[in-house]
This record gives sequence, C-alpha cells and structure tokens, in this order.
Amino acid sequence: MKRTFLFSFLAGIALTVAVAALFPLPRHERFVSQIESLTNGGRGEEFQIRWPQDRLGLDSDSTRTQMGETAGLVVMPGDVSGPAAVELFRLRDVQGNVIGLASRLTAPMPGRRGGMQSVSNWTLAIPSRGSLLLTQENGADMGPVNRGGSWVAAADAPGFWATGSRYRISAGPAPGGRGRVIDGSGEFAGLSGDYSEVWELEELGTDQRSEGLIRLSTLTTRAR
Amino acid sequence: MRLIIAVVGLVCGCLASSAFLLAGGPGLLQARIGLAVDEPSELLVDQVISRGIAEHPAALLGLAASQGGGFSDPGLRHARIGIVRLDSAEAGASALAIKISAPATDNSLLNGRLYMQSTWNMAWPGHGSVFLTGRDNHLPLLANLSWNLVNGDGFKLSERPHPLSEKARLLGAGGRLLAAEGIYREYVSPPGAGKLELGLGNN
Repeated sequence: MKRTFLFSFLAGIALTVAVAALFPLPRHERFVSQIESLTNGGRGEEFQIRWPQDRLGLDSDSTRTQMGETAGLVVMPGDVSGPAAVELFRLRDVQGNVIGLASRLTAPMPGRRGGMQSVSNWTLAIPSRGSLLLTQENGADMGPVNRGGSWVAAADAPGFWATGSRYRISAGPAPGGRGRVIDGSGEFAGLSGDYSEVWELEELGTDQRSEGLIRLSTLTTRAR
Repeated sequence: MRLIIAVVGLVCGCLASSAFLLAGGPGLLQARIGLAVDEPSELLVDQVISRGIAEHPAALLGLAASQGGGFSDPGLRHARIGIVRLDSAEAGASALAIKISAPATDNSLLNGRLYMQSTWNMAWPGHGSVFLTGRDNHLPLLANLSWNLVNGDGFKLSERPHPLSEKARLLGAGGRLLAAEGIYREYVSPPGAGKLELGLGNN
C-alpha cells in the first residue's frame, strides 16, 4: 500500500512538472532588429509611426474621470500651466513591420531659461526586446488644442502645417537641439544617447485631418 | 483499494508540486531581495483607459483575449496599456500616467516565473515627470486565485491590496524632478482599483 501511494505520489509530481514545462506560455513575435553600427561604437536605429493609421483609439472606460478623450488623445486639463495629453501609436521599424507600441506624453514643464516649455516623453515598448525611454523639449507647443470644446492633436489643429511639410519637433535638451535617450529596460537597459523626432506631412485634407510619418532616429551607446 | 490509493497519491503529488511551483518553485531556494520604501508618497490609481490583455494572471497564461482594437499585430498580441490619473493627498495635484506592459520573455512556470515587464511614464503638468520600470510578479496572484478556487470562493482575488512590483525603480526624470532617484511599488486591489507607492529622493 505504501509503495503504491509513493509511486503514484511521484507520478503526480512528474505529471505537474511535465505540464508546467510544456504549457505554451505566450511568446512575442520578434522581427530582425534594423540597427546600424556606428564607428564610435554606438548604434543607430530609426523607428517610424504612420498617422493616422497607427494612432490607437482611446475611448474612456470610466465615467468618473474629468478627462477629455477624443480619437486617439487623452487630455488632463490641468491648472494654469496647461493641459497634459497622452497619445498612443503602433510602432514600426524602417521596413514597416509593427514591432511595438509608442506612447507620447506631452505636458508643460519648467524650462531651462525659466517659464514653461512644452515637453514630450516617449516610451517605445517592443515586447520582444524591452522599452526605450526618450524625452525632449518641443520646438513648438505640441500640446493638445481645444477646438470648439473638444481636444484635437496639435498636428490636426488649423494652421499647424501652414509653414511647411517637414518639421523637426525636437529642440533639446541634448546638443544640436536633439532629444535625450534616458535609459531603457530589457535589451535597451543601460543605453543613453540622443534622438530626433521629425514629422513629415504626406496629405492634408480640407477638414485639417492630416496623414504623414513620424521618424524617431536614435543614436545610443551603452553607458554602463 | 489499490486503485483508490494510487489516485489519492497522484492527486496529492499534483497538489504538493503545484503548491511548490505557485509558491515560487526553485526560486524559493534563492535569497529574496526586499524592496524598501521609506515613507513613500501614496498615489491612488484611477484607471481611465486600458487596452490589450488584462492585468490578470490568466492573461499571462494566454487564457484571456485582448480588449480593444489595434493589438492584433503579431508583435503586440500580448501587450497591454493603461492610461491612469494618479491622485495624491500629499502632492495636491494630479498626474497623468501611462503604463505599458508585456509578459516577460523569460517566463517559465517550471521555474516559478510569471512576470509582466512594465514601464511607467507619469507627468505632473508644470512640475516634472518620471520614468519607472519594474517587473510585476503575477505568481502570488495566481496562487491566491487557485487557493480561493480550492476553497470554493471562485476564481477571484481576495479583497486586499496585492503587491505587484519587483525590481521596480526610477530610470529617469525631468522638470523639477530632474535630480530625483527612487523606487516604487504597485498594488492591485480588486475590483480594479489600485495604488502606487512612490519613494523619491535626490541624488
């Protein structure tokens, strides 16, 4: 009897271990990284976002919040300093593969020369690789615009594209008016460097709805 | 009689090894590093929007479908975003924050690893912003769910805050928080409300 119990007990353990070892946990599909090796030992990688098709719709789950949600934009009105806004996009590599998610959090922050400065923080999350964290001062106010009581993204505001069809948004704090790569997680852990954010307009409708491409070009080295 | 004993032995073996794995498996035998948070600021999480997989152990096992559109691409199928407002009695002002999570690439039930790799970005308009990153350990939540199921309370979490974050730290900051360094700990409390303890200091 004891032997029967012992053998079946061990069989139970073996069965559980087999199930735990063979259970198909979710795995992320990984695309080949489009990284360019630089002569200074660093690396360059460009990420792209096509708008409006890569913009993710953000309808509120909550009726308690006092935030404004419109297509692809969540706005927290804030106090005298101005509103904060989150936009969310699918992130692509230079070959156009969707490799992750990108969030852009824009808010007014104390500037280097006093006063308030429009600042954007990017989180580039690639599930199979990790996250890369970027921050920049914006060359123009990139915060949301209140049009007729509802919020619209800066790129869809009237007059935004009046002076050109290609804008570099980054204006510091890194030298050359580039944004700063703060750090990362996973494969990107310990990286630092700089980047530039460039918007390229491809089409502008009569209702101010625009189509185009955002290029995030990063130059990084391993800091530690 | 022998058959009954064999079945009882098999069930006991399954239960004993499941309990071992849910308690952390081989990781139980390694030293644990505690997260010390001295007098942290308590931020209440007001969930505004969530998309992708649920913040639930079942989602990490691939047993829950994604919510919302835009997550059908192979590279995003198991990702999650949450946009929240963080309220604090101490800070006075609210922060707007976004959390992006995905199952860790080294998850293994056999080794007692069931993590979500998470990145937070939060901003207090006119003041400053912080980037945080950490690993959310869902194994204790799965153990709690399993225990409640065995007890006949259903497959749901106990009504108390459950600590979530491990190896959670501040990676960078901006504005008036530029020189800040610190750590954080996130708690989930059913039914969906949570809180975040953020301990900041200057370096």
